[in-house]
Amino acid sequence: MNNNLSVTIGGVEWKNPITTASGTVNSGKEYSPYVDFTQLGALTSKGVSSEPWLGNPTPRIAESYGGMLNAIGLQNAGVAAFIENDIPYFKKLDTAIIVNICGRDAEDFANVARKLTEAGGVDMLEINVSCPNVKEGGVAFAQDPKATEAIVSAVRKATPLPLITKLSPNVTSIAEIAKAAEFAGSDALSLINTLLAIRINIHTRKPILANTLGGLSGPAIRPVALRCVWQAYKAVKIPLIGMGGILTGEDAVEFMLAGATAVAVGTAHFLNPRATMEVLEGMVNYMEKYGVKDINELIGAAH
Amino acid sequence: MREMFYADILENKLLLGEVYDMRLYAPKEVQKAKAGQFLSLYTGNAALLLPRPLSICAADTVSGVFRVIYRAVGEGTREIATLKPGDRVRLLGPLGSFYRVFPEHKRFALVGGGMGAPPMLALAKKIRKEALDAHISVFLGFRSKFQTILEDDFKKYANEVIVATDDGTQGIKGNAVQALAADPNFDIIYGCGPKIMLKFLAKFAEEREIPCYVSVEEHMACSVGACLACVVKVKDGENWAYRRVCNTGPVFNAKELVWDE
Repeated sequence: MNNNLSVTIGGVEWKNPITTASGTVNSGKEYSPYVDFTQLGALTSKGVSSEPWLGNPTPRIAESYGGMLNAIGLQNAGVAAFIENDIPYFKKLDTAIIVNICGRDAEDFANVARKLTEAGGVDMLEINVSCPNVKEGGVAFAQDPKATEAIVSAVRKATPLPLITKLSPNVTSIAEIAKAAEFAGSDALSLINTLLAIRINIHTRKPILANTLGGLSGPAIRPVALRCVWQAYKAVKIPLIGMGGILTGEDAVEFMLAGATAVAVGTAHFLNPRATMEVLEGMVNYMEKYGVKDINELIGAAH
Repeated sequence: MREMFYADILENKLLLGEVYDMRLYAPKEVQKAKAGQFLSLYTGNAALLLPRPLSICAADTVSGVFRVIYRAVGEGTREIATLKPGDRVRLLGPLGSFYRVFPEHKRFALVGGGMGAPPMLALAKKIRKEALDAHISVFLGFRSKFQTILEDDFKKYANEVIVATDDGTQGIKGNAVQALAADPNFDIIYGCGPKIMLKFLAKFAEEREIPCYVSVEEHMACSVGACLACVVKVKDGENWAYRRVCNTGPVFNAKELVWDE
């Protein structure tokens, strides 16, 4: 097989265009008995904040047709614990490491970025301005181009690492936010974070999630994610990482045709711990079937 | 390397009400199972993404058969209830922590409320196997005599099986913890059942300084410890922290848990 699968994002070469969606595999350790994430172009960690975050009360998830709602609330042990416990693990892995960072304000984000840069072992940072499940530092940033720009700029000044900004679909104009992140120095964009949603228990007549609202993910949101990638592709020049309900190689190809340089697999892990491997196989099969010599040919090819 | 595995359904019959008794043939995986652990079963309905965690009622290493008892209450379990002998299902497991049996203990209390009864059967078998002279008392709580399950199965391993029903239609009127309280002379207590039952059980054990281990339940997504959906509050010094039920639990030392709800 001589077909080229590698892509380059923010100067970092990925051996193939597949990574994990932040928050779905933690730091990869728990899934490592089931799947070898070093086969992927990159491994994306769960969100890391400057101080430990407790996360939300339970229930934190609710299933929905073709998807699920989550309101985990970015539970994490903080950047110091992350550097102690997870970075040494990442250093042993032969794949690009992306650490997702979150914060309550621009300085908070920058602080996490600085500490991770000093620690080493991280290839790229993904700025999470779009989590719908936390009171501060949540989706509000990604709904405001000025706030997005301020955070990305602050992180840009704090680190030389390539930056990916993860955007929310819960906006009026994704193009406007995408441009703000690009202007502020983001090297790439991740689209999309989850869609703000609710489910109600008809027996108790109360919302199922303790947090009331949560983020919808899974195949149910895929066409919305594709639309966001499509619109962002028209708006910016920086590479896009597409995500939202990818289960198969065909789904991944669709995202690339819409304009994504790479894709992330998230909720699919819960349905199949080896989902990323099946996506990779499916992409290779597609390339062979259609005589695609270089995966980069697919990027934005539907436009 | 751990893998998902496939198992053949041997039996999936209605026990009573919405409660089903399922047997799965998985000769390799039953050897690994420990009392208190669970299996995560994928439903086969593509619209339902999440596997269903099902507690192991029995793992017969000779016949290679898992026994799982579940209540078909939601979309996923109702889907599982439609499985027929000969169907193949995809699973993960056995997963999670398990009940430890300590050699210094002689008098054992096993308390199961409703669908908390099935995992206690696996534990009763384990205790009987490891400590022939053990005195095992089983306390089962159900809404009424029409919901009582596994009473005869427990008699194979237990010295006594005491049933309590909320409406008094069978055994003691009350719950399983009230039944236990009538004779609190135990070296250790194990429990599984609704959160409110476990809360009272933990309080009861703490007051009498009896070691107590319980199995708790939470909505799960990944079931391997990655997604942080199924957390429970655990004491952490002066404070508390969320711990994962799927891989730190489901079995916890009752005095480590925070029972505020």
